[in-house]
Amino acid sequence: MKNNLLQLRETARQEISATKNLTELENIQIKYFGRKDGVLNVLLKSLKDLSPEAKKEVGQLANQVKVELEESLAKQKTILEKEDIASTLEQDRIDVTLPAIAPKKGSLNPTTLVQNELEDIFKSLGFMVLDGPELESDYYNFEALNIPEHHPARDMQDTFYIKGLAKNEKRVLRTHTSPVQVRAMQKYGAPLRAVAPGRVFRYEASDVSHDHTFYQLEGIMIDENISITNLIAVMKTLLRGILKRDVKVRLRPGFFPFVEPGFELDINCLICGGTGCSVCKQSGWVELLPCGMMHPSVLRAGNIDPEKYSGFAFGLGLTRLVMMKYGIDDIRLLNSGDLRFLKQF
Amino acid sequence: MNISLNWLKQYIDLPKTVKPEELGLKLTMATVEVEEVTDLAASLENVVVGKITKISTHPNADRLRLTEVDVGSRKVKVVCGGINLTEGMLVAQAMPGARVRWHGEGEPIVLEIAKVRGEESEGMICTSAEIGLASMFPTKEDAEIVDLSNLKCKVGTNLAEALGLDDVIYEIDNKSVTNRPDLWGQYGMAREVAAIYDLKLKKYPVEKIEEGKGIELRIKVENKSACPRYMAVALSGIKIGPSPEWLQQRLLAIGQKPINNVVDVTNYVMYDLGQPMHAFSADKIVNHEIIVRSAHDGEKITTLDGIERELRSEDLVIATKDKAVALAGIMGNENSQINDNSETIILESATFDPVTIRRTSSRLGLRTEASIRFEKSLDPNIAELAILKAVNLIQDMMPEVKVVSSLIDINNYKNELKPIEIDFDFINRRIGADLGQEKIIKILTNLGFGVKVTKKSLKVVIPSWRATKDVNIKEDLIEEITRIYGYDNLTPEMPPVKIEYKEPNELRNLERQIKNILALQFGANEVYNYSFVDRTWLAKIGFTSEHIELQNPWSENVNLMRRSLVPNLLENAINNFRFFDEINIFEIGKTFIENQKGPIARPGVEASLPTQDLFAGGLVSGATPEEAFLKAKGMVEALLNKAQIKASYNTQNAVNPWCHPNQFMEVLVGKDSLGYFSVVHPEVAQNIELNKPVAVWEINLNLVLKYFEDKLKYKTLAKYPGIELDLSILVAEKTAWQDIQKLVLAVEPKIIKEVHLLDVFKNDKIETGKKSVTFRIVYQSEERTLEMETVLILQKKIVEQLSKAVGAEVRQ
Repeated sequence: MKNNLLQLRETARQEISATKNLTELENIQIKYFGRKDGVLNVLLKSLKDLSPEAKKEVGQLANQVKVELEESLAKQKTILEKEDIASTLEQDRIDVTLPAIAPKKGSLNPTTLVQNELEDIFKSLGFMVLDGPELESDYYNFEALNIPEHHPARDMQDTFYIKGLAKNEKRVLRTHTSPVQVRAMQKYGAPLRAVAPGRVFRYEASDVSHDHTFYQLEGIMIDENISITNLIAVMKTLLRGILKRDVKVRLRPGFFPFVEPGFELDINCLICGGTGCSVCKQSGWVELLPCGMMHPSVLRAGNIDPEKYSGFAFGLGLTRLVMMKYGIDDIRLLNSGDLRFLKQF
Repeated sequence: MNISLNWLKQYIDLPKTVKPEELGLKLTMATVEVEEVTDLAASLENVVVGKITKISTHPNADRLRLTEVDVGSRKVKVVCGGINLTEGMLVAQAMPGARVRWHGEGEPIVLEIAKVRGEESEGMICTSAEIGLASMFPTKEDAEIVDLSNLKCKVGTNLAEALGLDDVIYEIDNKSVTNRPDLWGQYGMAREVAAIYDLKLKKYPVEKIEEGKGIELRIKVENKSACPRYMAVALSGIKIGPSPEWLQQRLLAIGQKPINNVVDVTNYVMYDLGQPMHAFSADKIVNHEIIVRSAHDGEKITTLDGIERELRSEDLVIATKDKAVALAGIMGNENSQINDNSETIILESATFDPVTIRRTSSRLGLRTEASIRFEKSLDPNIAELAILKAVNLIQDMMPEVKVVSSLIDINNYKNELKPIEIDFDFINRRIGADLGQEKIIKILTNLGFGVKVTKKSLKVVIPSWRATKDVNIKEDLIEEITRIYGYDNLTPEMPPVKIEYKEPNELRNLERQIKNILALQFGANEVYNYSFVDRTWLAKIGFTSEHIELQNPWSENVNLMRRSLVPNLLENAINNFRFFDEINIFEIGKTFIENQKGPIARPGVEASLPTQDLFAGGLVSGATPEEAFLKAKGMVEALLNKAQIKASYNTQNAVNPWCHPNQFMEVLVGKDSLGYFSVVHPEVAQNIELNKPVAVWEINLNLVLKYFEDKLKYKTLAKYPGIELDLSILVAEKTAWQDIQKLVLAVEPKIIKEVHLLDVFKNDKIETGKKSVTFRIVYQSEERTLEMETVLILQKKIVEQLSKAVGAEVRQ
């Protein structure tokens, strides 16, 4: 009986390890463990004919064999299953270089993309995002910004005029986003931190780098004791957000009637790093951002007391940033409605 | 505008350690934008004065000559194609190593010894354009070489030295001096340099003149406000001729062509002090009587450039009793200019009102060196310095010249600017740093400001040359102090700010959400169009509504402001169908309607601007008009859903000429029309050659925002299972789906939860005038599990109801 058991264990082990697939293994399992005719079960049933001592001894052995064989079966099953999957994998080869099944893809205008990005940066710094009329009064576009009629500064901004007057008020297409400064102050008072991105118009001939319609982003910050050193610090932080790296900046005098003092902010040329190249005309610097301390007349136009409050204002060429970011070499593409261009974004 | 370093050095002793490039940078950082620094001598390096000693023919080329050129130390052989070569001529000889521009074009190249058609040539004999001196030596023909025979210098002398061009020129961006009348001359710029380097500025060298007799100048200023100061003096004994070398060199260095001694002096004074002057030939001034008056409407004059110009009463002229002799402050007239025979001249040095000059010069398109300066608000005190200086210079070069009149000065100008009081605390707060009282006082003093110091504040007297417009408030002084101190020397400091709630811009947020829905969910492409529309295009579309018109459109036909986004979208479609079969585009932008209901035009005044609502609009193509229509509908509904707006629809009167009368829906909320979607009217499509089925849509986002409600609430998940049954019916073709749906839902609203359309079709098995409609009904109770029996009873009721209301028959 004992020998039979040991013999059975040996044969069963060999048969198990010889199996080549799960079906064979299942047959082996049934052969030995089948409820009715399983070899092991049949053998165990004959245990009852033995003496109690022998029964105990053989019973233990039988149990051990049973456990051992079950383990062998489980092991072999794992091996065979792995082999089985491996062979399926081999058969399931597909051409992974086939084109993707893409969802219908739309696009946003590149100006929208950059404008969104800028708005998010400014919002994270606690600036409101404002909007203003594109068809403006001469008052908000010029007068309130300290640019009276016949001021030479009007030369800098060739203007589209609207036919006719509205109750004696001349109307223009805004030449910059700066009118929003005054409207914002009138509406919200001080302190104030706001940006106003938007469309502006200049009456000028168009070519690859000029269009009569383009986008700017105006910004102001007004509070008690806002100073020139504050302006420089905030501008540096903004530029880090926009350009996503630390850049060297320099501030030099610039004339804009609505600020006093006024500055041109230059950044170290991003192409050559400041050593001089054709983009920066060998100077190492690129003019990026006109800014300045808000002129007291402008604050007054916004009903803000220039003795109590001061502020700074700045203007970003949004369209220029878009062109820089995507390497667009013809500004007119942005307003062309040409899907060959737009579908790239 | 060009600034000459040598000229500046007349007025300041610049330390040798200051490099020209560095000076340019300092000016840029403290005063004006220097666009380019040119070292004239460097650009003429290795170009010397040579003498042609021998000319012979070239064996291999008819047009070339072999020459021998004496360059002082030796003689060199040069091949030359110049057409005006003569033996003994002094020429500009570029030696190997010199930089020249071939034929005066392109980037300069460095010369080397070369063989020209087999003959060796050591350098070249230059034309003026090849060495950048075209303005000094204008030529009639390209191959004309520079003739230097008039120069009195040794052969071999460096050309820059021989021409007095050992100078550095700073090219200033004129836009950066718009606000600085005092910087339109070299002396003013020298004052800036002195302040930047803390140097002493020399007093302007000018001597009093001895007034004389012989001519009684009668000057009458009729329009005093347009001419605050008018000075004049007559000089006699003038001999018109070339001006001395030093004067020519000064003018040439800054790019001005010398003309004759008198004109050169008036120009020199203008470039020196910034004060334009004019010289009249005295014999052309009847009775020596000069009247400064407004022009007559329609008065005609012929200016020095030979152009006849028609004037208006807002223009100012200098006139004799019978005629105008100059357009004041802009340009003289042909009829009074000095000529080679003028012996007696009248010099004018005046101050004119900037607005008058600017208005006239812009209208006539006539901008001159004089008008550019006058429109900046010149200091009337400079007029006096200028006229004295001009007389000094003329008498220096022609000692026989006598002043033959008294020095006339009609001065109606008063500087009413009071000293500005500014306290140190204010200065420090506005700058954000304490620069030190001593430093502040020094900067202001160096710039010519008068400074009185009290304990805590300064009383600053504005010098006349800054007082006309430029400096008049405290903030102007802050600029003066800080820019000379150097913006780059300040330490940036973040402002302390309070945390506050910032009102969000709901319209911008809505705009952004909608853009994302359209692009990401519907795969639409965002276009940007101009705010202008072409009137001929609108005529084709039949859009006759009144449009706001531009006074100065950039093109004759594109002269209207859009009141709808659709016309430009239609144009986009036409353009893009050349490359794409399917299109789904949208735009979000402002539209303009003249109704005085928009934003205010000026506080305290009733006037309002046109309404400028923000619209979303789109255009989508489809295989059939119906498909295009349903796509447009899908997008509009998605936008309305986003805003939780329950709209009603008008399918009657189409709102725009491009709307199809029967493939159209207008979106209404209460009385407000939020927008519409529609297939393009076939007639419009035909007119603009739009050959594919296309639908357009527009939604007013300002109105969407008005009804926007963020009220989405969750619904409890169903506790009991539902039962879905499909039903196919035959109905008349014109029966609207919406009516069927409503009828079904009304049968038992508590249990009939949803009715979905599955299919609509017609075929030859279906009776003409009818269509088959298949839909699915979802039955579900919130209180119990439904039994099939209950549902079948309801289904039967539905069939009865549909049969009764719309004559539906069930299809088996």
